[in-house]
Amino acid sequence: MSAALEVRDLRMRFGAQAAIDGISFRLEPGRIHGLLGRNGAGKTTLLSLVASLRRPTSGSIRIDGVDPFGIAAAAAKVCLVPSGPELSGGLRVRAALKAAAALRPNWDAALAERLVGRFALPMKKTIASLSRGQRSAVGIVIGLASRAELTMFDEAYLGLDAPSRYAFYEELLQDYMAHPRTIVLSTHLIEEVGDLFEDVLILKDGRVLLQENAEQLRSRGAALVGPADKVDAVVAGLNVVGSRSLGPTKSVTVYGNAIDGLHRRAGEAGLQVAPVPLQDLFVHLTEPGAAS
Amino acid sequence: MTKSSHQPAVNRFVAIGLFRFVIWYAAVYPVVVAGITIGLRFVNEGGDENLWRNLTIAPVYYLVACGVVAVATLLPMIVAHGGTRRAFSRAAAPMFAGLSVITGLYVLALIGFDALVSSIFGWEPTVSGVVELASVGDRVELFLDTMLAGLCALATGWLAGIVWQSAVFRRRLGWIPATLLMVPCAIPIVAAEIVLHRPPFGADFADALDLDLGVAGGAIAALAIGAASLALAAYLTRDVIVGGRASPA
Repeated sequence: MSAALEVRDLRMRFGAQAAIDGISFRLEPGRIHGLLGRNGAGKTTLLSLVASLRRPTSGSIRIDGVDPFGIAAAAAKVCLVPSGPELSGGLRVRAALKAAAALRPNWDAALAERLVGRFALPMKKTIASLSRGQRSAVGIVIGLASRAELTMFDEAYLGLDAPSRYAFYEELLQDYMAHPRTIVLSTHLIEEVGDLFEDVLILKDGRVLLQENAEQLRSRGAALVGPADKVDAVVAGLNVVGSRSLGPTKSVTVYGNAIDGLHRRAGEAGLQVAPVPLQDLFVHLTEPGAAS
Repeated sequence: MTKSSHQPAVNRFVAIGLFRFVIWYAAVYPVVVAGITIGLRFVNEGGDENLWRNLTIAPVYYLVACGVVAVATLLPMIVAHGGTRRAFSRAAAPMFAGLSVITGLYVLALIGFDALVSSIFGWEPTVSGVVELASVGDRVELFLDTMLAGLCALATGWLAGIVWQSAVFRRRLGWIPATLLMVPCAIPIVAAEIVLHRPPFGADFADALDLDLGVAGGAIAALAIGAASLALAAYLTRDVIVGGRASPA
């Protein structure tokens, strides 16, 4: 019950602006993918294209090899939980869930009911009248209970308080374990959600900056702190993506395949190498002017 | 999951959505009009100017709103829940045809209701001032006129919904240009009113144009207008944008 997503040379232009600028990638089925990017990187546009909300300017999107835009068999596999209520804001919560139940072939009514209780959602209120966090919770209920083969959450946690966000992560993981499927999490809360990612896709300015297994990505980054001259000597020749100095002390973040010998060289220089949190790595990699 | 297994769910969804939108109107409209008419009759002490004269008009124009709502609310939800635009069109087109038949029957029933109310108060059924209902043939003609005008009204609403959806979500246009763009969408219902010689303005326009296709010719022309308009709407629906946050603007 997992769908593979394949994108080829995808472009989406809004007038002169390219929101998606010729990207190609493949998301393996049955995994949790983190979709990362700064504001305006093209994440929401990409997800809306995959969900067939609009046609791309050019390029192709395939769900298990089939174009989801016009083919029901592929479209039915996709569920996008947007960050806003724009598609069903005028509906009451009960009506929105009924609509999802009517149209989603794998709808799990028991799970939906349990999640409604867990997030304490008022069934009789319209979605537009709910608080930001409650609206997000409605999206989460629909996204999880739909059990779509490709489920995409576009910053689905917005406005949720910390306990509710952790409840979402817990429910997501539980349901994913019980019913494996392809999940895409578009998020800015990388530190909080990062542990869920199995693969990471980072967009920058409408292009794919990198796509990598999350563990491999983490292993390619390292942080080094110490006297500036020693640090400079150890990281010489490596891809330094971040650097800060405080008096004689320097802190650098390096990224790339060539850091294998870093631990040995750092040990010889009396320096400690620390892992780089995914969020820090993301910040360094997506900084304006950072090397791709 | 196959195309055929998802289509029945979309069909049911569209049918229920349309039913919910029209049922309250169908129930409330005659009661409100009867209430106002009775009130005016008593105020005017038997004057024959009353709202029943619009009996054959308002239900048809309500279908314009019905078509808009189908595109503005049902289509986005269908697409958001994994349906295709084609599935929506496959559901909407026959249901619009069915709804126009029901509207034709509904108007006949309203005329019966008018007769009932009028008989209670000892009045002449006043709708006959607008349409001739002396024979069964007149009633059949009224049914056909209403049904075909209703079909074109639904097509107008569907087209207007698509234009609005596209204009607004492309975010190139504000609501005023988007509204102006919807004006050409009225062509199906205006054309149907003219070829069917429907009062109040269709007959006047037809006379001004010296156009008289006869009952059968008018019905065939209106059917062709409705069918072509629905086909055009279904064609345009293939690429219509849904959702508002897909643009970085």
